[in-house]
Amino acid sequence: MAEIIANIIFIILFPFIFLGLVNRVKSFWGGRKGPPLIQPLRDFIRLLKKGEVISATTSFIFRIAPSITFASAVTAATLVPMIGKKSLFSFNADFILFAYLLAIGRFFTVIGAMDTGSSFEGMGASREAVFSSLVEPAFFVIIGTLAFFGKAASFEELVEFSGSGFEIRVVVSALGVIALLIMLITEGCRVPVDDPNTHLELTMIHEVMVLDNSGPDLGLILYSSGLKMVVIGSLIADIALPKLPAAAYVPAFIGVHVIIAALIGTIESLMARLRMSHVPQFIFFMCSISVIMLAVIVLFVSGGLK
Amino acid sequence: MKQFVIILFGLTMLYVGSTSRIEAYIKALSAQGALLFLLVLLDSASAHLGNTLFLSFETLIVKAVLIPAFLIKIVRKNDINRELEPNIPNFFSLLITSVIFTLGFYVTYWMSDPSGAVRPFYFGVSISTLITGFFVIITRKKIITHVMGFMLIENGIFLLALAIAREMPFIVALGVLLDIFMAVYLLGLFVNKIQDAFSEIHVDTLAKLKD
Repeated sequence: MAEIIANIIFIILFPFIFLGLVNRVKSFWGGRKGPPLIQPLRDFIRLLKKGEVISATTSFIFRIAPSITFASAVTAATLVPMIGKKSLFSFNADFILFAYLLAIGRFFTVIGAMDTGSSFEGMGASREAVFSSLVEPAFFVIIGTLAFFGKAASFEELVEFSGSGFEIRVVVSALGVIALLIMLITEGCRVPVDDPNTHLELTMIHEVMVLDNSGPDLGLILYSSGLKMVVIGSLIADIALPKLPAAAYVPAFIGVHVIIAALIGTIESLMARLRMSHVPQFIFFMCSISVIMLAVIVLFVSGGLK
Repeated sequence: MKQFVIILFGLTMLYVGSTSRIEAYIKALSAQGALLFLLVLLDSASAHLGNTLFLSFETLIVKAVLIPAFLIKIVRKNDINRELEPNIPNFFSLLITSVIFTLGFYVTYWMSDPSGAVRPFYFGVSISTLITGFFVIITRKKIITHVMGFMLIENGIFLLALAIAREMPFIVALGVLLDIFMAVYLLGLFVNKIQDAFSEIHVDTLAKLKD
């Protein structure tokens, strides 16, 4: 029971704190003090109180898209084991539902952007579709490989498996963590794939698709983008953390998120965005890593590696 | 721990396959030198002290510092353009590198023996590194990248020696070191001299040298 409540509180509050952490790291590199950690939460509440401007050319799709994105992100979050190694719902092959829930959210963001009739947003939508088509197969290969290796049928069993102390597991987990970090950066639309700060339409992917959203809808979009990062960050923590007693697991779990936030903030402060033509290459890195993971596992399972 | 270092080594190869900057190549070479040094250290319990000292010197001083510094000096001195201009797009380069890695592991599986004399993980990564080195030499246009391809191959051979013999025989290490010095030095000299004749150093322009 305590785990369920902890999970729910984590899902509701932590995305804001995560975004706040990233902002604090960025302001540290910029030599500023930075906004308080709960500033994203305040922004969210402020946006919820606001009214909305809706373009006359849009249809109902534009209006429901942010809500569906939000709902799919929250549902996906319930499937991933968070604090206490338990997820809210767990059943066999839940990672397939997880991937497609993220895909539904993305699909509605894309058609919501197309619905505005703005040429910029169509451009962003096309980029998003291309990049996510690279992310999805790699995600399946990674999770499939881990599940095959650990004989796990769901995320929860995957966590159990990653507690076991094979030497080869460390290798596979390390590869999986790197690939999932690339996925986190892509899904969360951070530098070097996308820049959440610029509003130059020609260089953006995700930011450009939400240019027409305002008020509560924009708030939901901000929250779901933070939540997606936290969800994938939780996956990374699930895979990376060794077996720990419950008292040590929670701080370690939060610690992984803090490290990820620091990493994102640091990358964002020290690196420039990639040129648009180089972005697929960056994302394809994830596919390469997943293929190598598969090769290592096949080698191991068929007895070539001891 | 060793497995982790090997994986990092493999990732530097993927980086080499995908990047388009000469300086990134040099950084990757330097990182590989440091990783090989770590591997030698982790293996040092079973080896002679003198051998370990020499291998540490070779990896840390020569491979991670001296040769990259020399290459950077050549690049700066000759104003070599920072872009690599590969013959094929970087995206396919990365694709082919990952295929090479998969094949490398397949070969390891195919030839793996139950006696455990060969360390399969080292072997897979070293074979892939060798082939990727050849691949880099084939597909990059600049002469300076050929030197770097040779360096990648040499790192692969080093890893292969660690995989098969567990420790590199002293005399072999000396020979390889001499070889690499000659290759880098001669090609450096070559690049410096040819700069007077051609403004941009491409393999293509060398075709003009014939009658």
